[in-house]
Amino acid sequence: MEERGFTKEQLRNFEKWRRQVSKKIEVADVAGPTRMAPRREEEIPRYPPAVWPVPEEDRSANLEKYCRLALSMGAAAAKAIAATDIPQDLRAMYIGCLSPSCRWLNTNFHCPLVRRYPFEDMQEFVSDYKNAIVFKVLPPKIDAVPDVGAVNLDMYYTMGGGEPPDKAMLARNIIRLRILNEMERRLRQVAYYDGYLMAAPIGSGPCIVTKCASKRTCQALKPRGVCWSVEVQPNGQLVYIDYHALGRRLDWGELQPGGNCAFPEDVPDPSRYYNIGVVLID
Amino acid sequence: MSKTKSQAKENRASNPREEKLMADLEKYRQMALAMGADDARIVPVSQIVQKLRARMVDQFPRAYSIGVAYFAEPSFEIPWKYAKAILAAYRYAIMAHVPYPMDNPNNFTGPTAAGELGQAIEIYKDNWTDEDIRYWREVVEKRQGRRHAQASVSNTIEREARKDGHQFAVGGLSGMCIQFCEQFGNTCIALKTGICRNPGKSRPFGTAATLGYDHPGTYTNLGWRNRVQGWSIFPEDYPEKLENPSPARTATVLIE
Ligand code: SF4
Repeated sequence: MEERGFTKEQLRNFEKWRRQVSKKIEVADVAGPTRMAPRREEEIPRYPPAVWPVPEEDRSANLEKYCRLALSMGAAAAKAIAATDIPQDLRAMYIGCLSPSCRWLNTNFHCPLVRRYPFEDMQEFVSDYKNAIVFKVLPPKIDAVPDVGAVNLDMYYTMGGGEPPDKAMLARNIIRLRILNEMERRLRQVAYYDGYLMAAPIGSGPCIVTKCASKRTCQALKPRGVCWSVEVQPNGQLVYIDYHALGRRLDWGELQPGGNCAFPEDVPDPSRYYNIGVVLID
Repeated sequence: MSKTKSQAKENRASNPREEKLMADLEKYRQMALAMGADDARIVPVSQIVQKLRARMVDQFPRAYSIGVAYFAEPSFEIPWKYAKAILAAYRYAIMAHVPYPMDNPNNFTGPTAAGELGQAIEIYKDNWTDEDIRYWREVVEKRQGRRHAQASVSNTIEREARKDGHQFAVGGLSGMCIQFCEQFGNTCIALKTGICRNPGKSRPFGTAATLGYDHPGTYTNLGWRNRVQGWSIFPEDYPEKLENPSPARTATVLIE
């Protein structure tokens, strides 16, 4: 931003946060019990007050910047594409989420089956955007059992007569999805503060797993209940994104069934497992 | 003058209702300027860009308002095809670009912008630790963010237009309608009982989002510019002398 008049201290502070936000997201960065209240003032990243609407001539440099950011945060690949190149398919939700039904189906307010929108509306929603930053995320290598706070998700395995889950497996997956969520969150934040006010991160797995594993049930699904988090969004299947076709289109390899909501432990070929993050840019 | 333009002028001249509408619109425009707008325009509604993203973006990521009151999603949502039909039924709007008074910049940006942090604490405190609640109450006390005058620009014009006989004139409500229910502990009685305790005051909030006014698109059409506001831009992050544009809110009133 070419604003004049910032003090040296202000510029130093913006630069400090720019570096902080671009850092690789490590397991330790997302470990521990979920934080429920907003970050404290001193933990909130700071940006200079940009001008919007953003001039069209800045678009390609900004898109490149967001791809670089995704890579520096730990993505294995990142690309800016036209939003209309995101494949949408009714089967993404009505077959992909349902046949067979996902373990996390209807367990949280952000499950695509909880609030459904007409396919045509979701096509219109995606085409309201000019671009999307898409990025490939491989499961992080985790040796010990990470601390993710209390995990109380057994009933989702035992209800149908199954075995209680391996706690270490759940903790690894909570970390994996939190990293994906954090990447999307930071990317959207940087784009928003550049002046892309409509930037939208699309899904990153079931929030009952990433945010509310200790609570066991979603408080937003109780009568008159309200979700407590503002770092969460519906999954991509709400928008009927066909992540499998997207992965093929990008030449990133065959995506395993279940998309971001399935765990590597649940898919036919865990060695080829990866996730796709999507952030729409206006 | 082109044929269509001269015809329109002729129609207006021969149609007293149309003439009155034009005079009223100019009156509302002047009112907005008198109330502090640095630009106010009579805008043909075709210039307001309507996009579904302006509504959906509240969920990506989730906004604090979702689920907290009857007039918020998901309990209240105008079907998208109706939202389009509603906007298309109007011909003119008053749009005003209302700069923020800079006496307390916490009003427009940072965690206390628009006074909503105070409400958020009350709504979400059951999930926060006592220490967090104390901390954020102190921030509110220290920064004193308050709702901006833009709300009264649209309310005043809407009231005047209704008096003038434009019965569907509508401005927005800035912030959550739960602001009227402080005495009930910031909980929405309508969500519990089906009956709102503040009829005549409450309404669907974030009218822009409800109807899908797309601010970036509309600003491009009008040649307006603005500053990003949000939790991550504190008043302390502004340069001492701010070059144009100054931060502003947009008042939009659909008239007829
Ligand atoms: S309360 Fe928890 S599970 Fe429910 S929607 Fe919010 S983050 Fe998801």
